[in-house]
Amino acid sequence: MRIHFEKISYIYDRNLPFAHTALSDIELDIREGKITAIIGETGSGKSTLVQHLNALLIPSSGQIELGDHLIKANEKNKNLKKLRKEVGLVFQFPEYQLFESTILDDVAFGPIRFGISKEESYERARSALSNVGISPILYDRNPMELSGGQKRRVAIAGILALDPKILVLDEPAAGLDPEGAKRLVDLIVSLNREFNKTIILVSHDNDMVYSYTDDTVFMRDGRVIYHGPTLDLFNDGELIKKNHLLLPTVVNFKNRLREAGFEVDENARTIEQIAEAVSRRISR
Amino acid sequence: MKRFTFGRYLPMNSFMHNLDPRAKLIAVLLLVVAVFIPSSFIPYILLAVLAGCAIYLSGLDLRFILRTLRPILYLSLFLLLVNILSLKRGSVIFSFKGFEIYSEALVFTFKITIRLLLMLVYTTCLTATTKPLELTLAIEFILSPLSLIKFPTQEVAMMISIALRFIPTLSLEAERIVNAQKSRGVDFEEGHMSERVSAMLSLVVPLFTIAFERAYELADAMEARGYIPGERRTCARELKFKNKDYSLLAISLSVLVLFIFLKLNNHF
Repeated sequence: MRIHFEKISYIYDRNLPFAHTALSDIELDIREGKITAIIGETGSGKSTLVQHLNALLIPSSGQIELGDHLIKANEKNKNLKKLRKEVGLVFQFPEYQLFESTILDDVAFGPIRFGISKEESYERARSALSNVGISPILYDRNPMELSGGQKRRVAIAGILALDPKILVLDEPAAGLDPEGAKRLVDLIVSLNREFNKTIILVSHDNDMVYSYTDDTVFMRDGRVIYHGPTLDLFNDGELIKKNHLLLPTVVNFKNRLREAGFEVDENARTIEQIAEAVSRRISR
Repeated sequence: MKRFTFGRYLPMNSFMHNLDPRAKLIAVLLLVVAVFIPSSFIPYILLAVLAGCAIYLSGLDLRFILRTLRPILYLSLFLLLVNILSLKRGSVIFSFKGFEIYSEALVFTFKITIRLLLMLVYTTCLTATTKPLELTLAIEFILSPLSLIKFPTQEVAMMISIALRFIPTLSLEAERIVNAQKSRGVDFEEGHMSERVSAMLSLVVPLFTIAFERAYELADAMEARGYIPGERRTCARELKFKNKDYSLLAISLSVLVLFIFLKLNNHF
């Protein structure tokens, strides 16, 4: 499914004295089947950008191509429901969207809303829950009884059950403990690898972005200042310096190893990969 | 979701913004009472001029005011309809096959519309130029005589200020939940009854959960900072009446007194 932004601008409170331009002149093409990160400081327009992906926000000017859908500024757009089924959006702190009395009901709620039969909706709910690692013993529990990390998994399952082609996640790991965050990232990666979903995720965690994403969109003051392979972004010393971008731990570590005379693979993304390279070198 | 304009504070720096909130609140109360006294039209010209001055001194955009006033027009249209059908006084000004419109119906609707418009302009000038927190200080000031009969004025003022403080927060949360549920296929605008009920539930249940969570957190935070209900509290920023505040009070009070005086002498 093609995602193409053409000259997108978005202005909040357009006709009020405190009008505020959140996005200006965004041109963007997001690659299918890849994991794309959107990074940038708070207020740089990441969340606003993301809400255009399933037409929760309609651009103030420009147009967005999303598969067969064309979202234009100043136009009443139809068939948004079909679009929202194809682009699943998981908001920040999605656990707040849980409201049904059992976990299974809550996950099946989305598909039923989209007009899928009850039996199939529950079937999808079960498989989505097992994909996010929630055990069947919990299905009949009230969502409020779960831990923070579990709630978030259930909320994500609620979107997965829609079987979207594109999955958009806004700060999926915010507020989770390190272990919960790691499991969530593993889940996202496996959704991409095994189910071939296009993934777009907003993140503040450059370590995670470096280790697991293919492309990165770097935003600042409502503009895109870099869009391309993640590895290239963090190799671009000048861009990093100019924008005070925090270097991922792995990149720092690679630089230190290089200074100490080790040869390190340019493409090593995780500590594990580096450790392997180092141990190979030592045993030689 | 459409944002409200009514009752919204607009952070600017105008003459009105810098007035004492207590003076503004009392002036608005006096003028709103004054609005309901006259029964002829001429006094309303004076009140309208005052409203114009207030808008000018608040530095408000005329479009902002007009947008706030729009709902009143719908209300007036409805009122006009009811009055045409029910008020049968004055002279007939329109008649069609036994259906008659009396002059009194138009006059009466016009009067009520003007009163509502003036009232709304005054209050908007107050709320748009006064921070919610300042407004509660003003309310506390006005309620303060009640503390003589053991009425907990400070606690009530605190409750009002917390409530006001949380309106934008909760409406932001509500917007977020609406967006999240829309992404799950909830349609808040269409659908038959049962779908609408479940759409509403999908908003209300999470919103209540959040509100309660916030309330507990806030209670803890207040206690951690030594808040004890019933204890006397001091104010970091003492409010002080200045000359311009006294003149505002003098003007609005004299308008009210003048109107009452003329009314008692049957000049209106």
